[in-house]
Amino acid sequence: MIDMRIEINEMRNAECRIRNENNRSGWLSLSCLLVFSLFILFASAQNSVIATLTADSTRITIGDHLNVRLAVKHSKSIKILMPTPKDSVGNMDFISSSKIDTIEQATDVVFAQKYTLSAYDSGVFHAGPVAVLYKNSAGGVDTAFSNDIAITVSTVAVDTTHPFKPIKAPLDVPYSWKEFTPYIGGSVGLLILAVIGIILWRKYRMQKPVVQARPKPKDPPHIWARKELKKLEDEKLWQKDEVKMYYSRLTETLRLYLEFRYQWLALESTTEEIEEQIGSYNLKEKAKESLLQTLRTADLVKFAKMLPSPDVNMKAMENAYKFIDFTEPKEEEKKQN
Amino acid sequence: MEIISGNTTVDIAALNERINRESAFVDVLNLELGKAIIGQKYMVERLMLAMLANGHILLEGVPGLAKTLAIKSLASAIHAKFSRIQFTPDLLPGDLTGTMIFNQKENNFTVKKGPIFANLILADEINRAPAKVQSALLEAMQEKQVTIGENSYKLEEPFLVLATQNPIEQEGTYPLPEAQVDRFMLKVVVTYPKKEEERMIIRQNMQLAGQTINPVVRQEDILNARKTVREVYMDEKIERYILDIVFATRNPEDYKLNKIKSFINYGASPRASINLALASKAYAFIKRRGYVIPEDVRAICFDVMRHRIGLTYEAEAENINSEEIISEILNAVEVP
Repeated sequence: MIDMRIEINEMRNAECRIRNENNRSGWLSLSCLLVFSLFILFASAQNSVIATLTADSTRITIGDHLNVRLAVKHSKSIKILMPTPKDSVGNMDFISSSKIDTIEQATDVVFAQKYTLSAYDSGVFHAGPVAVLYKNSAGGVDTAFSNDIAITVSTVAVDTTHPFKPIKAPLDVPYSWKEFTPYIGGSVGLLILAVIGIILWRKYRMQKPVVQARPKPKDPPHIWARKELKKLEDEKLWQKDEVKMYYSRLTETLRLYLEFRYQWLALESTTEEIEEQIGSYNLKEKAKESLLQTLRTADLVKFAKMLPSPDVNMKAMENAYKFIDFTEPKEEEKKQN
Repeated sequence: MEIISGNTTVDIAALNERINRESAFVDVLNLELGKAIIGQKYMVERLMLAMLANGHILLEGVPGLAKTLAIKSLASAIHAKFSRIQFTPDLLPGDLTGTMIFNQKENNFTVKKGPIFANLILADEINRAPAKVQSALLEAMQEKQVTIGENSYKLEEPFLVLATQNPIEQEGTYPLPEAQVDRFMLKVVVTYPKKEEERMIIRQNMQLAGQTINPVVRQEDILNARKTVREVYMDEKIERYILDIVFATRNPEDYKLNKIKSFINYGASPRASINLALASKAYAFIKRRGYVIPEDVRAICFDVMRHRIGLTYEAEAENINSEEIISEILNAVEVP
């Protein structure tokens, strides 16, 4: 800009010289010179950047905020860099700045930004000048300065005739439900999620158990066992070549009968353990033998791939019935129960 | 009992017959061992079981319970090479596996094989040696080979390690890490002999001439028997039973065993399932059967599982041991 001014001055000087040295020059030459000068002025105006600083007020009280507006007008062809104050503008403290406003005109653009400034001492402060960097037409970086605004910062009048008062205690603001609503809502939400989680987890766990609880039959054990054996007979498993299944079901029924009748975990006992256990009961040898024979045959079928003859299969069922007959509670025992 | 002929049935019957034939040496071996060892039938049976299942044994028991005598007698009875290694805190891996020695005459290194190159090894008080020595032994047990210098040497079959641990005097010991204990197929707790047995022991020891054990079994018999053991039939019902037992140690709540859940830090590894199956087959073989029954699984379950269940501090505080946990599991898992 300075260069432009120099150029304009040079032009004016040249104009004077022409006027002084050659008064006789014609109107045509003068007009050409004027047109040329105007062209130069126009060209320089095309490259100019004008930064203007305006303030809401020129007088503030110490610590008050002052709004200052920086407007930078420049032609569209020029690229400018708006200043980014960090600590101060002029010698005033910088508080904050607004977003940059862009106003487009015919050939110009105006960038405007508001700064909030303050001062913490009394006296005269200066909000400016603010430097705006731009790229001139030659491609070099140039600086345009804004105007300076003098701000008078006055202090608060202290009445020294009155004694100093202590600092006021913090204000006790009453709580409102509105404040607690997000917390209450969040807690309720978390609680609901936790309950859903527990339900899903339990459901998952409930599905998982390998071992299911064994419900006790409503009928007395001997009646229940006979019904189960009858059912097994009717299914005719061994006749359908499902011998292993037949013996598995047969021994399971007998083991469960033992469990319900004598209250011990027969289903979790091996044949040897069952033999040992029933040995301690006052049972007829025939009863023990009929049970053990069935269990031993079943073990061979289940674990040694044995395929017994139909007679053996029928005998196993017969022995099972026999064992139940032998061990069925006697009349006195039934009455006691 | 009549057995209908069928391919599978014939197989089992043939296998039973073969087992009867091949397991005959078990009785002979028992008789021979009985000359030197009085009582301790359980330990001797487990020794044979491990030998047939190609596993190793960790013995826990106070000193003087014929542990060394048992394995020494077994080695003599099967005409196998026996080594005894006393584990001490200053033992080095090289003392065990062997080392390269410089031969000044020939100006080169020669291999000096260690005591581990034997058929039957007694690793006495294994927990007295530091971890690197234990690890060298356990590596040899697992890989069945030893590397000295740049060469690897296969260990001769049969190769059985019998390690002992003293349950008392824990001061200055290096307890075996869980991962290493897991490599022992069986952990057998050796107890005191019965009164009558101990009387016999006194009498036997009063005799001037000690009993000599004669080799009655060839190593080939043992190796053949090992092959047959693997052929013993195991029904899928038994497999499921084994899996249920092992899984009950991992997820007790699935087997209505919530009460022991807090006592188990970690359950048995898949190696437990493998060893339980293998040891059950070996047990069935010893009992002259070509098939495994639930009784076999239960008979060896304690020895296979007791060192594979990690107990919590809560269990220790309640004075609950792994045997009690196994008992609870066996009482809760349905027998097929």
